[in-house]
Amino acid sequence: MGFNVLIVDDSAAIRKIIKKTILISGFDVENFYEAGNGKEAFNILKDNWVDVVLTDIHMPEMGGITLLKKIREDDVLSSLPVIVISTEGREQKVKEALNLGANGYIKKPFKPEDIKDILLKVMGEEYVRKEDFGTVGECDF
Amino acid sequence: MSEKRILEQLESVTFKILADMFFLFPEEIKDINLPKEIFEGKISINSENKINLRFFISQKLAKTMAENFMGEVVSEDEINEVIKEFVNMIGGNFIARIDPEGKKKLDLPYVTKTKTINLVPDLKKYEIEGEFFAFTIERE
Repeated sequence: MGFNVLIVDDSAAIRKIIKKTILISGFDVENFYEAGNGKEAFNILKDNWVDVVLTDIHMPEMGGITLLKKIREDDVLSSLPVIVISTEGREQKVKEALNLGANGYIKKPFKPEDIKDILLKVMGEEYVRKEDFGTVGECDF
Repeated sequence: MSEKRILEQLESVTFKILADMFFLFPEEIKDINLPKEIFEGKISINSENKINLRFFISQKLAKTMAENFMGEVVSEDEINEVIKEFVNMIGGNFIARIDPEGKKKLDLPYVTKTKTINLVPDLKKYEIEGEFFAFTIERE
């Protein structure tokens, strides 16, 4: 079974590009969810199972940094992997996002490999974690 | 940073994004017939002195950019969104060069159509695949 991916960007065209890039990269996707800002994204997260969020920073109504803070503060969502995709390449802004708990940061313009690499890194760890649980279970019983 | 250096930085960022994301390569020109109606993309950098980065793109070029970026036939809305993203990417990369400490703030970009490009001073004009492209830095 593939992953459920939430893409958050105020541009529908960019969401389409990110979706295409993820599919081209061979990443196993079950469902794509889309949101035009952080507020919409948070509502989707409340009602649906999502495995990973890819979010822009600069968006109207609620930006990506506020969304990230809300996710990390939420009891249920706090461990959800969040990858920031932004034109903001300043080191201070990247550090801010990572310090707030972003699992990865991609600077626009990005190459398809950038998205693939970060997804493998972030979701690969998730996969390994699940495998470890399985191994421990086999050893114990 | 001097005005000349700032302009060079903007040109360098713009050219890189045009090449990397849109597969387009501008050539500088002195004189060209200005299109009657044109896309204008604008993004502002806020600090003590506000800077507006303004980009002017012929409608045909805007369509080409959107098609190259999306890899498919595009709608009018998608053209607007791609131009907005183009301006956003330039703003983000430009501010990283002129303000690495992160003191200045980048506003949201916007796109409109303008018929008054002839009134815009100090335009840097280019031709891309026979179409008009220009930008300027405006201080408030």
